[in-house]
Amino acid sequence: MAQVKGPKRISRSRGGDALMYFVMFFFGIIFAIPLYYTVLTSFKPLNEMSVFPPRFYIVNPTTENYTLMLRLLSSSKIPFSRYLANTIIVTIMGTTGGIIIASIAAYPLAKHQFAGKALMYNIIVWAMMFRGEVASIPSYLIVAGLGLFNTYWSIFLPAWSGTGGTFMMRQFMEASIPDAVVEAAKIDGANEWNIYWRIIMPNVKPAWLTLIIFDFGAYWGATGGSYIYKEQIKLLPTALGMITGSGASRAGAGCAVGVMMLVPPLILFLFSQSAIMETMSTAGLK
Amino acid sequence: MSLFKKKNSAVLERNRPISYVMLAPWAILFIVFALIPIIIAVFLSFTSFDMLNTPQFNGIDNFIRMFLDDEIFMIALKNTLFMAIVTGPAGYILNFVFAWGIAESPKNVRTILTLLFYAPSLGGSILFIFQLIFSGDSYGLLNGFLLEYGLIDSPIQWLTDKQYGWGIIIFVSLWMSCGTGFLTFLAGLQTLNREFSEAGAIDGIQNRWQELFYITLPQMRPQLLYGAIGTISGSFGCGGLNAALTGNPSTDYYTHTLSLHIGDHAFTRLEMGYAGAMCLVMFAMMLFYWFFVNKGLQRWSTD
Repeated sequence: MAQVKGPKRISRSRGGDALMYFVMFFFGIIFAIPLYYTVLTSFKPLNEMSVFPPRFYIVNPTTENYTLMLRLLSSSKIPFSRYLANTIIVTIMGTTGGIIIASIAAYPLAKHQFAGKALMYNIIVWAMMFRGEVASIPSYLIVAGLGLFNTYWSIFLPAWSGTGGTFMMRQFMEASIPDAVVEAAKIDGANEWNIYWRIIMPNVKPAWLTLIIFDFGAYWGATGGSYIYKEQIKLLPTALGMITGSGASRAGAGCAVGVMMLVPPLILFLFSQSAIMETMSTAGLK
Repeated sequence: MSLFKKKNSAVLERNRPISYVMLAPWAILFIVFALIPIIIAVFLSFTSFDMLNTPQFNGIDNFIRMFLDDEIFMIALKNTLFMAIVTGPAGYILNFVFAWGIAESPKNVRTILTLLFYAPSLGGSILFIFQLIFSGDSYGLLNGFLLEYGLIDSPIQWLTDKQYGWGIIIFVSLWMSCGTGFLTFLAGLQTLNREFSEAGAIDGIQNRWQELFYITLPQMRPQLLYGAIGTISGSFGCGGLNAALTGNPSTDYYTHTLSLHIGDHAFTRLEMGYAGAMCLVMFAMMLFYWFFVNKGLQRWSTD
């Protein structure tokens, strides 16, 4: 073995490979079935919807469910494009703002020494375990008191105040950046903002790419709940909810809606995932 | 394994204003929109409050009522603990196994596998597909299949029959479990320091299982903790799925959970004080659980 050039590798046995592929394949199939059935149903014509026994394939695939969905949406008071534009704006602004705020706060929590740091860490962990049902009433009153109703700030500010993103970024900075690197940068004369932007963030790229996926998914599905009731600024899921809410009679259109809600986050997911995989092959702090 | 103790914090300066400046934007939002509401909710636990009249302090009456005078709370508690102790950890382990399996797979199948496992966690908008699959009439996918092959004589009420509801909830919740924890593990596996593996190979680590236990998992502690918190708060807070699949309330409350019970008292019966007290009890249980999980992960991964 001593003559092997380059970094030494830990061996991978054939048996281990086989076991792993079997497990991944087995669960992969199980996970795929409901997704497959959703996509399938969205292309099913009405007369195949209630065939007995139910079919796992389509004889005459159709896009009529998608046109029905669009027809239902275009008959609404506000044009469909408006709901879509609203959701796109909220998703982009919410995700960007949230990640910047969370990662700037995570840096001192991971790499600085200051009074109250341990307490802050504990409060974050505790807050993640407090169920929001009852806190949602005071929270609602605060949002109302600040006059944020019918503005997207009522979505952004409570979301940005969340502990999840900050805590996750902190955990990654702690795990993957040695203190020595931060100190070396400081000795070279970098200020804290430079360290954050040029040392920390590039080295936790998989973390914020992952956070982008979470946040995008959350904002894309956000309804604005009880804070937004002006029709012009309502979001896409609110409009689509009216279709999925109508039950089995519109199962096809409902599935079309489901597919439409799933596809954009998944496309983004594919992009960011391939970026993460790319980092994996080149990354590594020396 | 002192390899991973690379702390040398004595060199770092302490208590500089810049630390607080960087923390401030998030911390202010957190205090206003999260911490203050939580503190108010804790205060309400010791009162009787219907959202119209001023809260009346009533000591520990809410807690006495919960444990001595509310049978449904007991059902909800039992179900929630079951989810927290069985389903939660099962999902957590599956998440890690999938993430690790993907990291070990050849490059070209990684993305498709990741997509496949992750997609269901976004599936909130397609939950009704399970209404079609498990529908109680013979047009339901599962019933139709079983009837066709003569495995059953009459359709089964999958979602309302107490015998099957829980199995379906567990199945769907595992199906949807590969969200934040899973992606965090995956990202964590990709920020591992490769030098440790190379050093490990020289030190006599022979196969992937040893590498997993001695090199990979100890380095992943921060991500494992993050995933654990998510799992604890998710599994204690379960209920949305139960309501979507088996209805709320379900037959004889058989899939009722604390989260649903809290929502019921807070928003339907307007008993905010009582609901707050249940939130507090749930919080105490989660902290207790977290204490052991944290201890376990800590001891096991830094030896």
